[in-house]
Amino acid sequence: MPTKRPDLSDIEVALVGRGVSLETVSIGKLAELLRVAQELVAELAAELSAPTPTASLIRLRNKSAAYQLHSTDKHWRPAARRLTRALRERGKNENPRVRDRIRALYSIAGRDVRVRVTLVDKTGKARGKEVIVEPPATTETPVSFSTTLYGRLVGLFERADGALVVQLDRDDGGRVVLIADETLFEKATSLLRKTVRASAVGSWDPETREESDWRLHALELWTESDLVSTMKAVRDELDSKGVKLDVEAALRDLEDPS
Amino acid sequence: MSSAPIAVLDTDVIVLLVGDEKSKARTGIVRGRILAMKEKGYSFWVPVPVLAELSTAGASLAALTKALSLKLDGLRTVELGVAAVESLGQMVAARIAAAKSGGKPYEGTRAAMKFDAMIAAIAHTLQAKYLLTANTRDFTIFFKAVKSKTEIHRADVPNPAFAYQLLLPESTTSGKADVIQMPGSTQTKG
Repeated sequence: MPTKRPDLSDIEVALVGRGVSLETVSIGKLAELLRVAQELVAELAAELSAPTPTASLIRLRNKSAAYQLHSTDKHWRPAARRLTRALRERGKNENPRVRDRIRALYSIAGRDVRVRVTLVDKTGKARGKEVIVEPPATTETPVSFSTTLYGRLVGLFERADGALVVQLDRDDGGRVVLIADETLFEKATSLLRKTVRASAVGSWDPETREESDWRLHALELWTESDLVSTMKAVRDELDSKGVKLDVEAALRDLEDPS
Repeated sequence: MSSAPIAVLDTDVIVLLVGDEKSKARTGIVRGRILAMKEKGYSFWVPVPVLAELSTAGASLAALTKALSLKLDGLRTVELGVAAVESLGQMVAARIAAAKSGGKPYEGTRAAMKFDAMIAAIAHTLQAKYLLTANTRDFTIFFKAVKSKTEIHRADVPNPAFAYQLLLPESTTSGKADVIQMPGSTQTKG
């Protein structure tokens, strides 16, 4: 009589590495691990046009720190199988959101620790192939783009490799490091701690969705005008030219320029 | 690092700020809103698609666009950056999907929808607190598509959280001393 194949439809998510045990994993780390795993399952279920299946944590293993997730939801099994495939293939052919969640799962592990995902049966004894989570392979090259930055010039220094660096506290948040040429760097010295407008070219990584490698192309002192006063000045100019602006008609024009 | 909350301006807010006698009431409210937000430390950002939308609108806006283009230097303009493009795609896809699945049809033109989506994508990418608009069309679907924290803020309707007294009230002839409210004195905590 042929032996029945084990039903590997539970997912065991584990943190593995030297010295890792249930005791060494903080509640915060565990919560993050489970949250990201759940988000990844949700994204994959969405790919399968299924609602997010609900799952429960039913078993802990103290060999490393392993957490077994189980569900009776009918959408769980296909999502679980898709999960191991997506991880095995490092997110190849998956959409950016799935790849982003795979990257997040990989990032939870940290130094000397890895995340391992295994399909197991409900008892946890029959086990499928273990998959160590790796970040998605980068398939796209960074995109170069130009933009205008507003902010306060807060730093100037020369790097060990000789690159001249201008630091800007952006008005829209965050600090950006811009590589400048000699002329712009010299100009920047007179603008230290002042509000500036900078034209820059940066690189956009579609995988990580991060901007980097900023190069400064133009820099000038910038003073913000009062918005209301500026718009009043526009109005005055129109008045002085005898232009009658019917705002309501203009708003209608915006709706239907034809 | 700057922590000023960001308010992004929609095209109709720009138009209303240049208001005439006919639009006095709405213009007054929008101006008051900007001043009240300024007092609360907001920074204002003008998406470049707003300028593009003005320049592609009809003849009534040609003079405004020309006059405004000379005074843009002191305003914080922001391009549709590469970071916003993904959000833009998700927003437009959500709008199309909603229309296909029998949802509420879009009330503007195709061009208006594209400009609206670009403006919303910029506001989302900037992590703006508010998108200030006088637009009655539905921006909600755009922000929902990317789970944005940016809120749609009708700038042309009164809002007690951003009250601002633009004009001095007329004095009354009651027995008590007149109370003159100065700009900003009526604002409530928001």
